[in-house]
Amino acid sequence: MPNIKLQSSDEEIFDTDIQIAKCSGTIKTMLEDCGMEDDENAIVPLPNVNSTILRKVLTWAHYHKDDPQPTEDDESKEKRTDDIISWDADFLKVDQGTLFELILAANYLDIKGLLELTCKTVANMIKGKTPEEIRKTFNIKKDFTPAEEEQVRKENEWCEEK
Amino acid sequence: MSSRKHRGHENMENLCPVTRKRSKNKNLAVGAGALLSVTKTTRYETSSPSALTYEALEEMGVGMLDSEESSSSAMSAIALVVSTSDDNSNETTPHVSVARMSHQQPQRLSISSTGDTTLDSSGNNTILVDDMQQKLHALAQAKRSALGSECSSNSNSPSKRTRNPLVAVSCNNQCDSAAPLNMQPSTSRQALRQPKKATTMPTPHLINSQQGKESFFVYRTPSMSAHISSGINYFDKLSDEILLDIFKWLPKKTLLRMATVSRRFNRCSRDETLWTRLDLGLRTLRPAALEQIVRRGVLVLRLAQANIQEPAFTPLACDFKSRLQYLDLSMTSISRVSLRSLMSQCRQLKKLSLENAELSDEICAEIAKNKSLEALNLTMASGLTARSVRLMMESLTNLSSLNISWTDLSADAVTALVTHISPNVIRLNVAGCRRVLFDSHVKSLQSRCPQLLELDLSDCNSLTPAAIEAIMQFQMLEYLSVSRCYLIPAASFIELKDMSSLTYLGHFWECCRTAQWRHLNSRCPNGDQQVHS
Repeated sequence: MPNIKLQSSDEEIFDTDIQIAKCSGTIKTMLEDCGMEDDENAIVPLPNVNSTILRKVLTWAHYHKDDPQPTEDDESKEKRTDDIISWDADFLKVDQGTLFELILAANYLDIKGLLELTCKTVANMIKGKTPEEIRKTFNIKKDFTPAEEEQVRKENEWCEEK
Repeated sequence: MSSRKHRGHENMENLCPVTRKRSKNKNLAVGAGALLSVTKTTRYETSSPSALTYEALEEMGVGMLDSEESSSSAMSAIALVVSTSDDNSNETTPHVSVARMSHQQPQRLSISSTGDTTLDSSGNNTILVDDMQQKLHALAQAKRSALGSECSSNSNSPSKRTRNPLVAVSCNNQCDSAAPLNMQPSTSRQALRQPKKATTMPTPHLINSQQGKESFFVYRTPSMSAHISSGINYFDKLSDEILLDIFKWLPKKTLLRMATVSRRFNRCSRDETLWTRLDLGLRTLRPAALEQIVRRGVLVLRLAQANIQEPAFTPLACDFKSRLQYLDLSMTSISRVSLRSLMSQCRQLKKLSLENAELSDEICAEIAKNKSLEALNLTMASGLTARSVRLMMESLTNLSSLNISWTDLSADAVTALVTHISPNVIRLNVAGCRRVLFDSHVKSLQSRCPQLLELDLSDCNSLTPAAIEAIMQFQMLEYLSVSRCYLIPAASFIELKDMSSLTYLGHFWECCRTAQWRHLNSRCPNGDQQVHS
């Protein structure tokens, strides 16, 4: 397999298998549109991803290189977040900053599987927590006025608790 | 550990995820143990380090069971527990549950195989496990520092400052992971097996209740706690679009909770892409909740057997037009006023069920404005007049399926129905039109809708053999039900044998269980044809 050079924002070069790099829709488009596929020395600049994150992304992509293409969002499909495989779970044992940077990178690089995984992981961190706990966990400021808070609370209480 | 339990009682809400998960795991573990003929006791003894894995699970986020999640998550949680349990376990851990998590990696599975059943890869296992323990140890350290800063702000208990490092982390599951490394391993086992007696553990006095829920989640998510001192809200870095990518994985109940977290979350949690489908069947809806629901842009709404408290809408709601396309109000308890308000907001309905609803001419007029309505179920509804039936039949030209059975129609209403019904209708149920539906109606219907596939005329007990002649004219009819049409002698049904399209004939008539039926059965031209009597 030919390789391709990816350059992170801090100018580190990653010599990467082209098939692995192509799990990123962004890189794939770049390669195909710019005809860089046959050029051994072409360097793909990724100014939005630093080397730490890019290394993680490539590790993930390497492990998942044989995954089937993710299917399009099916509305009727049940939204499950408990189907994270243990390798992915281990992979995402990182601090919040890294996790969110991975989300940004997956979004920028257009890697559906990684974006889904990281978003599910954050969703799992949210689930089962009270609003106060959510604020605590993610350093979110409560920016409601008391009146607004009361209003929002009313608007979001739909059902009698069973 | 015990004090954690204790606090659990004070603050169930806070601890819910943990307690619920724990009990589930136990139950399932017992189940799996039974499968493997491992006794309960053995199971607990051998799974001593699994407390550690709860922590690990937490970090993965897998353990955060929401009440709306299925038990399958507990299943995979177990699988993860198994996959990460260390090789001190000297019993085979249940591969049964591992196997259920089909995407578990084979190598990870082998970690769960234990000392007795050492595999070739046991060396690897040890390395992995050691690595894991080291990681956990590091996590404990990180947590300790986070803990320090956290506690100093809200506590004046000197004991906190003087506790030893191991103890410092004991207020969460982490102590269970640390314990087997540095202390006699039995404590955590005992703790698991006999939580009540765990007060003998060296740690509990350190956690006092004042410490409370504020810091609790900080402790139990050590890997996530590193940022606490930095105080960064990483959500700020995400665009709304990405935020929705996260929100779409949340159950509706959690979404509602998210709205109360901050202004931004409130705004994003209302995005209509998150609310396409909503099932609130059997729930009791608070006043004005229905308005909120409709305003979220729900497309598919199920309120079957729900109880909708008054008022369902505020006066402001009148001009709003909903996106609702599929609406199930079967057996819903809703007032006529609220139903009218709801219907006045619906113009794009494709399927509507108003089973057992109380209707009025005004409500029917609103229903009639949904020109794209394809399926309408009004069975057992009350308040249908000839006028409203006519209006609906004239307007709903795209209707293909109509159930208007047992609606206590007048003869005029039946006439309006069969003369104005959309010719596109292929499924029609007019059962229960006692003494008001006559042979002439069937004839009118036949000329109006010659393409009917399904027709239910059960309990239309004024029909005579002449109706059968009309029915014979339906060229495509596949399903016919004519139960309890007592004026039609069984012999007349034999004529239906000539209807080649008919594959199902429903008929229930006690005194008709005669040789004639057997005769009809035996002479069915089509092998698939069924006669139900």
